[in-house]
Amino acid sequence: MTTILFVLGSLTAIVSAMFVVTRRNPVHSVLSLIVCLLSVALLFLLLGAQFIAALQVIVYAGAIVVLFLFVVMLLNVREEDRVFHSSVSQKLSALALVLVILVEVLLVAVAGVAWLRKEEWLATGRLSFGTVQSVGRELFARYLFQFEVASVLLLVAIVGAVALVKKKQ
Amino acid sequence: MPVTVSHYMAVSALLFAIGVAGVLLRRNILVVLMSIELMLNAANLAFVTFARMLGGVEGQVIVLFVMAVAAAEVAVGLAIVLIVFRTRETTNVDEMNLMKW
Amino acid sequence: MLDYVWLVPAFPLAGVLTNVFLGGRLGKKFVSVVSCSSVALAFVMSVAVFIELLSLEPGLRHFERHVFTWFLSGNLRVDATLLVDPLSVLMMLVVSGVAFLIHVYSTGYMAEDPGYRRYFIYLNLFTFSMLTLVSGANFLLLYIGWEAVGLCSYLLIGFWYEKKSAANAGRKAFIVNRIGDFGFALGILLIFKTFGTLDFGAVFSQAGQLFPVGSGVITGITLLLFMGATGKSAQIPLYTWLPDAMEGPTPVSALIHAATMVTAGVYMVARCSALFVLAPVSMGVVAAVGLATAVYAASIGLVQNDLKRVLAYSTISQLGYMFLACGVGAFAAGVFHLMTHAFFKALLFLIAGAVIHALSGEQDVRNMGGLRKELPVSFWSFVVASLAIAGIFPFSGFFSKDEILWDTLQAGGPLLWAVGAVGVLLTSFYMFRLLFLVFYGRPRHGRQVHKSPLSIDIPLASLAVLSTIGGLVGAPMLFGRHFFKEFLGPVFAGGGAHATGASPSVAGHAAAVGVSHAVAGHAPAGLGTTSSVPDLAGRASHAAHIPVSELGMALVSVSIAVVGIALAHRFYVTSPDLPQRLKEKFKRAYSVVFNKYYVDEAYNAIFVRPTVALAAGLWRYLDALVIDGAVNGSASAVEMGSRALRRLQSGHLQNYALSVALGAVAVLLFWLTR
Repeated sequence: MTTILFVLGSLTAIVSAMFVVTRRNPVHSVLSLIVCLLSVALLFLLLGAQFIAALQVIVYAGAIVVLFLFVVMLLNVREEDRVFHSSVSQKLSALALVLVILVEVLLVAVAGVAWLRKEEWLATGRLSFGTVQSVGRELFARYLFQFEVASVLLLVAIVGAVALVKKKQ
Repeated sequence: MPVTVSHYMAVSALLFAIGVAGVLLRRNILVVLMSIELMLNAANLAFVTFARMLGGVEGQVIVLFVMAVAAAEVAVGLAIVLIVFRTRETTNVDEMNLMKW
Repeated sequence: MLDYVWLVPAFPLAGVLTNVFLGGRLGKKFVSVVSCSSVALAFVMSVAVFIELLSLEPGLRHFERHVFTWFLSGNLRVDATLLVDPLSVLMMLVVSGVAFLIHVYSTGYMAEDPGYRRYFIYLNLFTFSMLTLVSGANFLLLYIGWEAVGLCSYLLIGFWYEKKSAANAGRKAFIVNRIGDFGFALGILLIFKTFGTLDFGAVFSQAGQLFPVGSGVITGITLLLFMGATGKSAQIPLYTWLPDAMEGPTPVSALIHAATMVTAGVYMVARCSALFVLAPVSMGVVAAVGLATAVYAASIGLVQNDLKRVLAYSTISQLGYMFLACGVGAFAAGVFHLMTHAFFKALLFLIAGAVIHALSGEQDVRNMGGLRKELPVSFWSFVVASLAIAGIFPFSGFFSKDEILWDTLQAGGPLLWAVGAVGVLLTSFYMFRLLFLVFYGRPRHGRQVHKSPLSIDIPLASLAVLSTIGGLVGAPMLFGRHFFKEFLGPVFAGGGAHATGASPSVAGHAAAVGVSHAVAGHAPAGLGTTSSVPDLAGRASHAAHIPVSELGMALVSVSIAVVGIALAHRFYVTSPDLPQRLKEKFKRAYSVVFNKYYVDEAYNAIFVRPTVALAAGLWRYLDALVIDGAVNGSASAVEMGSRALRRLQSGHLQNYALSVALGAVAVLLFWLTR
């Protein structure tokens, strides 16, 4: 069962990611992005990380993508006549680079280090793996400082965004 | 065949690669930003996979922070896009070249 | 008092510094007072030193005053030490005395020149340099003074630097001098290499002990030193600068190019007598060059029309006589002539200045005449000076020139004497030619004659007196003793064994032979010099000993001079058209001599133009293309590199992203393959 769901989720993610990158109309890209994010959330669920999956949907698909949509609508972005970069050299080198990255990461992931090929998942069967409590307990105990720093970061982002866009009166 | 870490890692790698391609090849600044989100997601997936594999919860904590950072970055990034759009009336990356020598 | 001898050069130096810093603000009067009094003080100090020196025993008249240690470098230790001995004190007296008179003269002569202060600064600087030159106790101090006087000569010749000919003359003087100085410097280096020291005392005393007569090293050294002397003292072949140097103000010509700087070469040869007597070949060269120059220059002076030029060639000629004296071993006689020549040649130049000043700048003798009445002081002084230079008894030049001729006869034989006598004839002829053309006859100048001020007349009169009585210190026939030679004797008695002269009357090379008047055995009929200390270390003369009396020879030379005067009188007073007729008859010979035997043109073609062409070629290719090319090329290489690198900053976001990604990939690769 999990296998099928996994295949489904991953295929959807990859396909929609391809769409994001290749669609001419930016709104289409945004919508594809939503699909991708939701598939990834499914994958998170399959991995047992419920909290993260929920966060993914709420924050990513719910807030960030909505923000994107707002801006797309606000700027009234049209369809483009040419999708990809004009410079041939840029295209070629980018493609080359992508291939290299892919190969690298795959090598690392799949064929590389021995312990990655383990079939065992240590956390399988542990019910408390992805729960809110377990994550929250760690977050507010050991990683409290980092948590506070992250909140400051968000504050800075808010202030920055507002300050940037403010029209001079 | 059971789903192993390698499978999840492969998915993550593919998503990441697609994200990189988008960043480097698209002309629309908004799509570029979206590709960045793709890359971040790929990273998140990898983190959670490792968290699951190793049994700890640290991986998920990191994912939380990554999401916070992603949100902040998107907010500011889009703010910048808005400003540039005000003056240049374009979302074409090629035309945002004030930093040219 | 001897301890304070350093004040002698110090006073003029103080004058320079004072005038440099304060003279600009305090006006002409201040400048003149400072500069003249500094030289006067130097003279007074020299007199004091002289008197104290006289109080010492003749053999002990040698004092060194160490002023400071200049540098210590390995084996070389050079001190700024001043030497007080008869020769240096004599030179100090002559230099400071004549310089003082000329300073006073200049206050009148240069009164209207805008560069007044600059002139006196240079003049004081020159006096300082010359005094350093003559009072140094080692070769380096001598060389410094030598170079410094060359510099001052350049500055003063080209004093009116806006005039192209003056600037060129200054440059020519400096460059020709430098050529000689090159030889001089090599000589000094060779001395250091040979003796390990540059101190006069050390070098001269060692020379006799370490080297035999005729040694190659000493010959080389002395020839190199003499090369310097030919440059500074305007002998063949480096004399060409002196006639051109007349572009400078006339007092400059009087001081530098008559009385002092040009005599530096003679001083140097005299000072190094200990070395020269060890190298008969060099002595021969010195004598030959001197004699040849004496006659050669006199011949050119015969036909020149510029008053100062004639005097310039006369100077060259008389310097030749001084070198002739040194070359035959009669160093004291050479220095004696140096002193008397300083008096009458400076006088002649100052008179020339007075005449030129009176005629508002006229220098061509063909346009003068009849100035006897209007410039009496000048006239009578000129008469005195001419008689002196022609060598008429009892004027100063008689004693000195006669002694030289006598010594030449003894050491070099009748042939050399005869050539010298020809020079005497020419000298008196051209001198009296000037006298008659400038002061006699009807005025041809058509100008208003300005009377000379006192500042001009007084120095003239003083020098005239000196030219009259100055020779009496060397008049053995009158006083039984040759004071001058006695005084200077110890300085030259330093040589070791010296040459047995080769047969002297052949090939014109005077062998360096000690000429001892005592040995020549003149009967003490009031004629023979009975100096107990001869010129050289009293060796017997091996030359053909001509058994004539000195008195007889004196009479002969005086009569030759009188013949010259009579000829001049004939040419220029009684039959004034005679010169013109002769000129037409010997047109080609005349034009060769008039054009100075085309030597300047030859030098120009052989040396100057190729060097200039070489320099131009080097500039165009080596400097402009290679060196500038390298410098500019490296700059443009950097520019091209930066232009290429600049393209990284395209301003395109995605290019930057690409670079970042590339970097990340590279790092990843690195970690993977580690």
